[in-house]
Amino acid sequence: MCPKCFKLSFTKSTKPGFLEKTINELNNVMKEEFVAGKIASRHGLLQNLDPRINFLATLLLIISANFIHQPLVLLFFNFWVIWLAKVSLVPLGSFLKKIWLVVPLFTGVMVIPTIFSPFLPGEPLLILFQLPHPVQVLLWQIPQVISITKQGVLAAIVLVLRVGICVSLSLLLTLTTKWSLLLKALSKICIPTIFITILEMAHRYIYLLLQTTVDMFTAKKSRSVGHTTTGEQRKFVSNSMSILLGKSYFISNEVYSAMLSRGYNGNTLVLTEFKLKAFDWLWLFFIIIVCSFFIGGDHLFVWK
Amino acid sequence: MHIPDGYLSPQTCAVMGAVMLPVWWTSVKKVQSTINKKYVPLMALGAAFSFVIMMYNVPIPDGTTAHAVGGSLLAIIFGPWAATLCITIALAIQALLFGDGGILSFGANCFNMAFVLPFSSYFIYKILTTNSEISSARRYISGFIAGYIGIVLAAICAGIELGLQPLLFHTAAGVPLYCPYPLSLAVPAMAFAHLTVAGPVEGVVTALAIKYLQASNPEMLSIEKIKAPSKAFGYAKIWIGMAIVAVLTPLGLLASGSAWGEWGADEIKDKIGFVPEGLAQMSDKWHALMQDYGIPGFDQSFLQSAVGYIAAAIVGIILISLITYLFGKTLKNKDKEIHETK
Repeated sequence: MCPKCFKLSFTKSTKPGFLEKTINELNNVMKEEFVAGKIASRHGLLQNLDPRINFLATLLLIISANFIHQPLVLLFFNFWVIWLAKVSLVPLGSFLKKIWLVVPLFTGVMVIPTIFSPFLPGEPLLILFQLPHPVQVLLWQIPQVISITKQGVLAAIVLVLRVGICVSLSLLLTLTTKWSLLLKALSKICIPTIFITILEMAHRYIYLLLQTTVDMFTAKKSRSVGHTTTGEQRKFVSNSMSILLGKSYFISNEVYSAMLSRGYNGNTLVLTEFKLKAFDWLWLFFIIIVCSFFIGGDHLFVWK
Repeated sequence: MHIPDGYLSPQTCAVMGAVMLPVWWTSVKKVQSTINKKYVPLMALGAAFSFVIMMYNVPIPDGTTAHAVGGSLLAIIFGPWAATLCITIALAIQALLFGDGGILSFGANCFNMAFVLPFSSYFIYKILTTNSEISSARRYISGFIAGYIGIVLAAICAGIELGLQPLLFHTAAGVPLYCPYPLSLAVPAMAFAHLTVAGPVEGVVTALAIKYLQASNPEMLSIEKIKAPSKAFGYAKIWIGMAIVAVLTPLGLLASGSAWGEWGADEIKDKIGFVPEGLAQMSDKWHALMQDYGIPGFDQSFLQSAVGYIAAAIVGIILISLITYLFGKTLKNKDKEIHETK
């Protein structure tokens, strides 16, 4: 064993504390947004679409994925989404890592109990052991035969594959859309302008508040020496929240005064004009065909 | 507590979205009428605040960390309608811009975290702190209870939404199509996780934040009171709506038979051949004043029954309104007393 490692394993400071964790997470948000902005300005397939069409297409695809129940069709759908990411010039390595490391970790672990008969009774695929008699624990009935069931395995596979598609599509939308344009464009269709204005402003001020938090936490870390109890740490986090709330309220008043002095009268106007190109309509048509193809394929297979 | 896409059926998502539409509409109207033009930057900063504090790591006793939603704190400071709007925007940014939480399940997530959480927390806090000073200990203790119960209720709602899936959507062979856990597992699992970890975290964070504000920025704790609407909001519309509903109550008489699960002892005997012992004992314990929603001796024809139904509906509405009015009056008087003593 390396003496350095041995030493480190007994040193408390090697484990990231709540301050480092929060600072890292907040920095990651800013980093990811920066990377997403870079990818969104590449000239890939999805980036060249009108943001509204990209959003609508993603929504249609997620809805169809939720209507599909055949593992094979879902698997094929997943491959198609990966191909979509590739032609949109999204770095595949990190894209796949983000989806297929996270989905099995959360959905996969959550769904594991389903495959066993106490959680989902069904046809046994593999009998593990037998209890002398069925057991009732409050509302929960444990059957006599504990086995891995066919129904359970299928349900688990379907859920993991479907969540994989939905998360991939959401991430793809995030990575390939210029948000400032989409939000402006959305206000031209169905969503009230006031909602979009708040959304846009909130998006902008998130970074200010993230930076403020990083500064507060870094300052705390740099002046902390020795051990603090979890109670003290919780108090610091809660106090930081209160300070941030006070600051947010103060800034909102300042921002309002600034808006007022620039002639704000309560109405918001979007000056940019948005026009859909023939390619956008073509893509939407293609997506409708893709959805019909997958849902149709799902109906061709019959559950056995 | 964010439910990702894929766990809930599109039908459930559509229903939850439809449930949230009037809530969003009312919240925009309410906030617009109380905070006026100033509400745009306030809601934007509120939403940004809500987004950022969801990322704070709160140390918990086992040495790890957990996240708080912060919805209770927002509801206590800005009021439940403003909190609904702020958390909705924060969730929209998470779902759309960061791919976290689900686009299709947005309505369900908003129902749990932007509606159930702030409203339950707000009313618990309001009831517990009536007649209390800004600096009183009751405020932060109530903050803890409000945060704790608020998040547990929101988790139970999420558990119910998830638990309904295998009941409603499965194949003929019994393969659940969405979340596989039934209500008997999903609700206790969600409730347990939130009763033991997330609930105390939300409660402690809310309580400590209120305590800090009491000491360093007490004005923040009275923002909501200053901005509270002074005039009655749309009472006439509510009364017209209730009158229409009361007149429509006899519609149910057109259908034959009882509502599912609401059978009397004699109907159960017809259906299953015997009356369970417990039910037979219990069915004699209580006799209502207006049995079967009718006026005794006035149920010979459809018209008489219909009149009886409408009368029962009006009596019900008047009773509920009276009790609500008395509650409101008591709270208002207590508020007045606090103002006068200041």
